[in-house]
Amino acid sequence: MLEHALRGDRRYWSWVIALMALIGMGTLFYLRQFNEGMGITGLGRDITWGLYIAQFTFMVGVAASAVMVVLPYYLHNYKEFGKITILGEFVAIGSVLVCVTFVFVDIGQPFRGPNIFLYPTPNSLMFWDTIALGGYLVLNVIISHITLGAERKGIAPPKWIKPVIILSIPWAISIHTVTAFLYAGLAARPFWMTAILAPRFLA
Amino acid sequence: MHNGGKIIIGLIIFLILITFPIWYNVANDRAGYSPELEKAVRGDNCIRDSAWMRPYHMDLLNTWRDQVVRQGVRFETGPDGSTYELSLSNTCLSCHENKDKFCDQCHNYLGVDPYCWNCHIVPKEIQP
Amino acid sequence: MSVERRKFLKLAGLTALGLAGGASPRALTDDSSTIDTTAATPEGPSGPLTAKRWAMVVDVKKCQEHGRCDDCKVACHLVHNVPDFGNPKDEIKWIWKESFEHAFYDQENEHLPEELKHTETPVLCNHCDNPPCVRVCPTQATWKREQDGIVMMDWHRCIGCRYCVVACPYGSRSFNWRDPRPHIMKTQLDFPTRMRGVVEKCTFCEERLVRGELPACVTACKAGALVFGDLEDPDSEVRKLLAERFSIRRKPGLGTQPEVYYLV
Repeated sequence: MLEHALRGDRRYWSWVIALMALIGMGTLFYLRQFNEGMGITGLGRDITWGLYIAQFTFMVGVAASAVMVVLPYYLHNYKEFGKITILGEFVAIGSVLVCVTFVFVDIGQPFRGPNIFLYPTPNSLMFWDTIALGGYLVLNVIISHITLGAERKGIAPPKWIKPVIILSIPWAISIHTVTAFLYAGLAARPFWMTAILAPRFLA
Repeated sequence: MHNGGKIIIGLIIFLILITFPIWYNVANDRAGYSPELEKAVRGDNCIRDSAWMRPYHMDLLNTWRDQVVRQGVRFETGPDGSTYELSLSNTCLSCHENKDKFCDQCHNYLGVDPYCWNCHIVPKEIQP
Repeated sequence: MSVERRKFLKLAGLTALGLAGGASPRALTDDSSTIDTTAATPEGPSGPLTAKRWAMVVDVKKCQEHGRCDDCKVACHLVHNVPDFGNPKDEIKWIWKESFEHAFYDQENEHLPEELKHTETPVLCNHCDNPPCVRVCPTQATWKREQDGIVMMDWHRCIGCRYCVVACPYGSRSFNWRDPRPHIMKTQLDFPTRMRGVVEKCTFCEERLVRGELPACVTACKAGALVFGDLEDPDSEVRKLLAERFSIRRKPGLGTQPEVYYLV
């Protein structure tokens, strides 16, 4: 199926090359940040979390929104949505990967990231955020692999995938709730400290 | 074999490239190189003997790190009864002063790059 | 060909996962258990200072009467190799002077005595009893020591996510936005520097306490405005001062229970 991605006309390839040029520039600038330190982002003592975390929060919302196309088909049996649920799952995978990338570039010592798993801290919401996002990624990879494979063969997907898909619906709600709780539990930030933050983020 | 000539030539080039480190060092007469560590500039004995230190100094430093930082235990009594501080910069480097003639000798040869030195000071480098 | 490619990619992915999974148990086991260290004695040569709960009392009046001075900040930053980047964005500070209005902004009072309004008071990490930074750290790189209540930092474990900086209501924590080494004025040889990408803050000089010395700021204050002692010891000077005079703390309504008291 990968050969579909390698076939295209001139417009397609110019778009791909433009995107890869952007990716290349981003990588080079990230290497500069890795060498010189995060000060080059313009963040400072007063604003410690900036565009990186703002974009991370937005993309978590996009990842959760995948559930919007899955919900009508599986929970409300609205058959017309049957063909596009797979798109929802792929959007979820892509945006969760972007989220993880944003976190990677935002922390000061990215290669110490595994410390979060080596020294689990249940009282920290950032720990639960990694669990929730990682679990969501795994769920969606499994679901999209199975359903896309079944569609490619022209048969219905196996029965056991249905509970997994049903699980991914509350899990999608939970990833954005956990991200909201990240901000909502901080007494130091009264603007964010409200119980209604999770529904606000989800909406 | 289809395209046999090209495959065999390609394999030979691959083998030459992959064994580059071996024949390059043999050609430059470095086959028998072994690192030479400078003797400690002061002190009669290290806190452990070198046969033990060579394989375990990294584990020792890791243990010290957890003891000092996470448990707050900064001093220890050695096997010979003397009390010493659990410190890379203050204890180890007080005798093995020159990092480049001692630590780096093995580390550079083996391509090991411990990040201790990003924070822990080598006194000789600040005050030569 | 396409079916074989899919199978190949699946196999490659599973192998990579298997290799990574096989490597991780080794990372999780504690190699230091092979070390046979002799029993560690916690005492330094001159006897450590210990307490059940360390706290600091800042006599704002004494500090204000002494006049403008930065001795506490200079001493602390010298002893701990704190860099000076020269701009407020990258600035790292462990203890510094803050105006009364900024330090106690919830004590807004238009008719405060004039000298108090224009005074500056030293502020530092409050080593709270209920520290929000400890609660949010995902790797336990900062934790509250059970033996004496100091909120400690482990610079080996910190991943630099700055969640603690966001969570601290007092702004006591600073992040190393750049490599600090070139910006250290005078490197002290007996304390490490930090590297870029980790968060640092005042640690109540725990490395000096273990040697029987008071914190650097307390020793450096010529006005004697900084008093350090054990809150759980009813005979300590901090308890006496707090019993005699009225004290306030910074942002008490947030429930962090800070352990730095200000006598105004």
